[in-house]
Amino acid sequence: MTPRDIDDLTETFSVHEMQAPDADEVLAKSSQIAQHMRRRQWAVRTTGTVAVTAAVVAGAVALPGLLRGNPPHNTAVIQPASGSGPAAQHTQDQEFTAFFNAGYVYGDAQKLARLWHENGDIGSVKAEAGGRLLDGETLPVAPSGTPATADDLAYQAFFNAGYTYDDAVKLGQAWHETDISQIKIEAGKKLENGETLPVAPSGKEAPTSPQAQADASAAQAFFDAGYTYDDAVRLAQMWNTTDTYHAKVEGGQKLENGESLPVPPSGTPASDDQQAIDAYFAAGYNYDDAVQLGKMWHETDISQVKVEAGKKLENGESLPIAP
Amino acid sequence: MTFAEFAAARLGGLLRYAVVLTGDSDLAQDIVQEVLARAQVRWKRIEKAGSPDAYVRQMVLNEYLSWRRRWAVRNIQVVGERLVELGDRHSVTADHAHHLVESDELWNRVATLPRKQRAVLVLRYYVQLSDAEIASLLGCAEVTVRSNASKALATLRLSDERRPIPVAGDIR
Repeated sequence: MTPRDIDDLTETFSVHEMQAPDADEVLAKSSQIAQHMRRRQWAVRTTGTVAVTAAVVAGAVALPGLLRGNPPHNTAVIQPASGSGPAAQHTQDQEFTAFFNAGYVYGDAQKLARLWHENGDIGSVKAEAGGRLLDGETLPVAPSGTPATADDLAYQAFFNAGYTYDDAVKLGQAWHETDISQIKIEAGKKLENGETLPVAPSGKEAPTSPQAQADASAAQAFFDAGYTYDDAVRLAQMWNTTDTYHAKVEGGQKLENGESLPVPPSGTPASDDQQAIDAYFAAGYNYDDAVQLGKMWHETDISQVKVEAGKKLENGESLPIAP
Repeated sequence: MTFAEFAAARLGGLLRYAVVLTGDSDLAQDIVQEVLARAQVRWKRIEKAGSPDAYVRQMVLNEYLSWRRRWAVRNIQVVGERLVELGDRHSVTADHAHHLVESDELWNRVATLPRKQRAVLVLRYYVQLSDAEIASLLGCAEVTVRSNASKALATLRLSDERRPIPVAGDIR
């Protein structure tokens, strides 16, 4: 080899940087991975791996700006509530609700998909858009529909907390009020304000109950198999139900029992390692945390540390450091 | 800056950086894809950090340094094959291609360096960072940076000096 110096090295780097892969292809694939990560974040949260606030458990998915009593305007700008967490803390159901509550409809999601170069998965577009709204961002497309009113949101809060029509009747008796619709709204507003009602909800069981955890686990199995929200909507239609969550649970249970579903998954099934890594990041841990864990576990391969840590989180174990 | 704006402005440079860092186009693609996906999911937080470009480049560097061992095994085999192939090709290469082959040979030898040593060389001589900046990125002392650079250059049999700048009379 002829004598070399540093300029040869610099020149070599410059010559070979031209081997860079196609940027469009990289961007498209990274978007697919990001969509999968978001689905996984939702799935991990529903299993209780990540701490969920009481408001989220109760299903309070109303828009923060409207919760504070601001009348809804025909605008997509929603101010985040003080103390609200980062974008990664929204559940997918919250994101969907935010999207529709802001007055957006399916056609708007299609417009956004074109702007964001998202192909096919309209459900992910709605989730992304809803997440941005919850973060106080403005979307590049105006909503075609009418935003939810404060009464609409209170109504949602009432049912999301597990209350039913019968509960509203009982409340009416306690409050000497005969207008059941008005009772639901008043009760929902109280729930939004963090108050408790004199009647326990008779609908959904609390998410912390064993049954709810089993349901959440089944829903996770549904997503792990590569199924998406849109698949759940299709299944709900086939099974004559309007409850997409029920479709996810039902579908997940069938998959866990080794049965197949009548529609193929739109997404890609998650690998075990990828699931573990997603669980790790979804729990709020970052690279520096992995380095710290690696030192404690005498493991120098940081990716392996993330996988091991994620598997522990998936098994319900806690890690020796906080995220 | 939105994620889409960031990607439009910076992705090309990021991919070139990743190729030089990893020495492998496929690995560069894998790493940048994974990093971009994570960045997209957490974009708001990254944007708030103030310098998205530096943040994402750090993510690429971290990902490269911690990439799974299975890649390292695969890559060493590939590089070994390339070196054998290069040796065969070198014996019959015409003079006019000599310089290009030498560049490839140096590139392949860089690929055999330990990842941290390679990263130090790339950050020093491609990104043109100071040893203090490299130490900050790698989370180590400056003396460790110098030590890694010295070992890498010795392995490559490179002199840690630059060519003398030619004076006007030397230019033909």
